[in-house]
Amino acid sequence: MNVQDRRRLLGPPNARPVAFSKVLEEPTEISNVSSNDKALPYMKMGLLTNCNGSSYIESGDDNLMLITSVYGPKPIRGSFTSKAVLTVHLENSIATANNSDGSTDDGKNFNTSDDYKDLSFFLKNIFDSVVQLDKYPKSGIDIFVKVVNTDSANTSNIPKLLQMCCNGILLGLVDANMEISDLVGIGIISHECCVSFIKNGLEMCGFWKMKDEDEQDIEEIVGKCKENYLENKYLISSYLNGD
Amino acid sequence: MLDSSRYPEKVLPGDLISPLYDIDNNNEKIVYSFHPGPGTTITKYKINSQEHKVLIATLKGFVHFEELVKTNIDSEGKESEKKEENDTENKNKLADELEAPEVNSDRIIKKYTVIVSKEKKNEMMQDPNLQEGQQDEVNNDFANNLPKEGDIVLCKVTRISAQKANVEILVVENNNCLKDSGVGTNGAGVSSVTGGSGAVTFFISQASSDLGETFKGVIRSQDVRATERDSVKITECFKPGDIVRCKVLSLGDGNNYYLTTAKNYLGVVFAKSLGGAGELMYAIDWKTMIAPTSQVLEQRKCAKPF
Repeated sequence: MNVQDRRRLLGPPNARPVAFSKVLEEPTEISNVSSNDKALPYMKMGLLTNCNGSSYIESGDDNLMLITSVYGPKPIRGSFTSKAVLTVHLENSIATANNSDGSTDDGKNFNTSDDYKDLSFFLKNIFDSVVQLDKYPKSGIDIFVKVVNTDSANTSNIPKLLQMCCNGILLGLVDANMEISDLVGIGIISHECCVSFIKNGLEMCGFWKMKDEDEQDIEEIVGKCKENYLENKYLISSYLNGD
Repeated sequence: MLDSSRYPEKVLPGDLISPLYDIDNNNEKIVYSFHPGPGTTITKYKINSQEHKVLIATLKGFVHFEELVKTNIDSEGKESEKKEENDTENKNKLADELEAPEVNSDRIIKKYTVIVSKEKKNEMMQDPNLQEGQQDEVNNDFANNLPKEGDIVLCKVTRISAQKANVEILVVENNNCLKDSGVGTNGAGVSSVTGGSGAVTFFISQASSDLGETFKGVIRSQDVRATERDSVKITECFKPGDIVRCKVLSLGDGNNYYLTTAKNYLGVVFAKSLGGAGELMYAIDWKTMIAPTSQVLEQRKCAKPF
């Protein structure tokens, strides 16, 4: 017992902890959707109530699930800033998640927090160029992305992760009614690289490559990513229009 | 009248709304000039390898055009796209020509503010009997409810000294509170504890009050009232805990907004007698408040209640 906890008022000595009867629930059958070459991601905005805007994304073809929350604009202390300060935090919240057999895998399969810092920084740079920061003086905008579920195979697919994060943050910002200049998006070549675009692919605002190989043609890579970006943007805008 | 069906009704961020200037379909002498309001911004757009300035949406929602009552005349009669250079000239003329539009002018410029908001047009209709700034409906659409110059804000006095009164800004008048209570945290707002700009700078132990994360402001003694400004005694104007209606003078420094109460309608709106221990008081003149049952009189710089 804590030293400062002397004479603490405790409950009655004959108290018994509350016990709940086990809930008997039929395990719901999850019908395996016939794996098309491309399943559509599931998106939802405004799930969380204590933040200003939020989104939930489940990528269609693997088990990647993300929750994004957007806080702010809120006051920051310190010296005067005429623009908002944007922060992006990418977190893996399943490091100690229970497996089906009850054991925990202590995050063995997942990237270290250092990797996530790099990814956070990359995402921050993208959204710095899109969010209308000068409309929010003296304030901070905080964005948190939580990886809720992922296949271990996914974690090595950083381009895919970045693409989904970008979509999630974008929907979170739209939900928060934060002013953004465009629907920014990331186009990817799986496991290889990703490029972020604005203005229907006319401008690039981010480039991430997994391996550095000289002989690759950058223009070809960007072209491939742009195609993927346009597909992705169509998904996002059709979701936003249908919502 | 502007034919808004020529422009998109529903937009997403990044969508094109309109050029900065446009000509009326029926009457070529009418030029529409569009100004960015909340939810829109100006950007450059390339059409046929020529750059044009256009308005794009920055929010998801419906486009509204609100006419600015001032009509502006341009006697040069140049092409509408080239009007921009004349803008500064026009502004100078504006003052003289506000009242009576000149008859010999070639073109009539109609100014519109373009707004993107969540609500559809019909739902935005407001009571015409209410004057500007009196609308009882608060527009919940914008996250941008930060105090800016000229805004009326409600504040709580946290500390007073001989030179100034420190306050915390609760809310900008006629603006909503954010869901996460970025401005005007009422104690229930949840801060993002795992990090972010709030967590770096905000410690509950260092918070000056129970308000949480709020913008701070300062009312300097010379800004309390418009007359006899150098003989103001702060203790006769405010007490800690008072709710004060202020106007924002400037964004101030990193810590404080600079506020003023030098108007009849600005000053203390709610105050309790006896340093907060007593009852709610009512203003009987601009510098006295009275507690209704105990008859305690206290000095405040009161806001005109009506």
